[in-house]
Amino acid sequence: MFDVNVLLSTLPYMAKGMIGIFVVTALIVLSVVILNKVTSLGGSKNDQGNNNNN
Amino acid sequence: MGFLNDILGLFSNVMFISWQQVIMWIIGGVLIYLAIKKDMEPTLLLPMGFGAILVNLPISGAVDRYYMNGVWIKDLAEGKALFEAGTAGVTYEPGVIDELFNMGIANELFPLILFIGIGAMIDFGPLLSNPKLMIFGAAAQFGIFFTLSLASFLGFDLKDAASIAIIGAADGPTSIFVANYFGSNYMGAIMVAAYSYMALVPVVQPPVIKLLTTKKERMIRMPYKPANVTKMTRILFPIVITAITGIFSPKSVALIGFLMFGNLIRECGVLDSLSETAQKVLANLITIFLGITIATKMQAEMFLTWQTLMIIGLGLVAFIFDTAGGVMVAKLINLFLPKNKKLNPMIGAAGISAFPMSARVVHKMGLKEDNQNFLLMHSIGVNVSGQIASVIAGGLILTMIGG
Repeated sequence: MFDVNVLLSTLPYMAKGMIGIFVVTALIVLSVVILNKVTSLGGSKNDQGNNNNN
Repeated sequence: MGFLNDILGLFSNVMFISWQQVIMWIIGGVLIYLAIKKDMEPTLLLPMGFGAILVNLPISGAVDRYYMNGVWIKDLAEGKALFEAGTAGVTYEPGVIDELFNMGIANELFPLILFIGIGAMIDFGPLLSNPKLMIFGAAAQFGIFFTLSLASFLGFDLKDAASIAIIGAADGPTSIFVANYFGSNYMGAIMVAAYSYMALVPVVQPPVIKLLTTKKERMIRMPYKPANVTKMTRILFPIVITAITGIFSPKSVALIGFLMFGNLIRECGVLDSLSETAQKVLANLITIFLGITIATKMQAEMFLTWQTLMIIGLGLVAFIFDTAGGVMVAKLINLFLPKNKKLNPMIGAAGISAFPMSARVVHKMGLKEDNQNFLLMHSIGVNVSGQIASVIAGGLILTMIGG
């Protein structure tokens, strides 16, 4: 209990986890921006609102 | 006399009631009270509360029991070990809740099917309209990784620490999925903490947000200018997200895949009846079984430990640091934005996955500071991004620690 060495050994998980999540998120943001551009060029029907029965 | 003994024998089970079981009945009663009177996550806390009473009745027929020459073995772990070792005279009677656990949770089926329903419920429109909001969803997962380190420091082994940390995902199915993947012994405590704190978001988040922001920051207005989102984008989004997340975090494929499958059913426009079924009937059915099945991990001998109290505390830490992570990243971004484009840093707090409570909290806090400050659409966008980010975080934890 209260082992500082264990704490230090888990810090790389924190760093890798946060970097990993930001990288994947950045890729998703990029892909959504591209999707929005490409689909709006294609003349698809705009559908800002909720499009179904909910 | 023999007749009297026979009658008394019918009530002999009373002798097996322990004080630990009585405490679990009280805990079960409190969960039911919170669900009914305080409307705290009633769909989960009520079945869990009832289940906690059910599995803690003496020699409960709802859970697995082991006998030595016909005599009940009180210590569940000991009975199981003796049975698995093939000890002569040891017999086993299956309990329905443990059977449900093996069929629906041990193989991760229930949380995944529930994700189809959740995916069908979510409108990603506000996020697609302003995808940059996803940054806050990512930032608000900080509590997960902070709690992983803290739980390890407090003596939990790495896999249990990871299972506890995922309470910070503020997402029940992801918590169940990860804790079960790691075979955590603390699943009951983790579930109680996860669902309780989700219900307590309106209590937990405001003080943290207030502590980290000034009144001036909380009054920042953010005009909502929605961009056009095409139907094609809405349809392609779940497919693209599944592919990207799956490639970079393969162990989250099942989670994100089922979530996005549900969303695709919703957005495709030709499966309205399936979408409605997924959102209502399917989600409700699974939720009924999920809550009561989790209760098998609330048997007194597993639940009434110091570790449970520590897990409840660590869950709170996870929610606090999630909130802080989102707010602080918003403040950091503000340093680089021109004066008229500043973000209200409170929206960062909505990046935790507790949907839609967190978005509502931020919106209400904005209105409290300035009754013309409408943050709801921004905070909803951040909140749904938290749904995706929490699944990615769960997948990353599985990849890093699951080997």
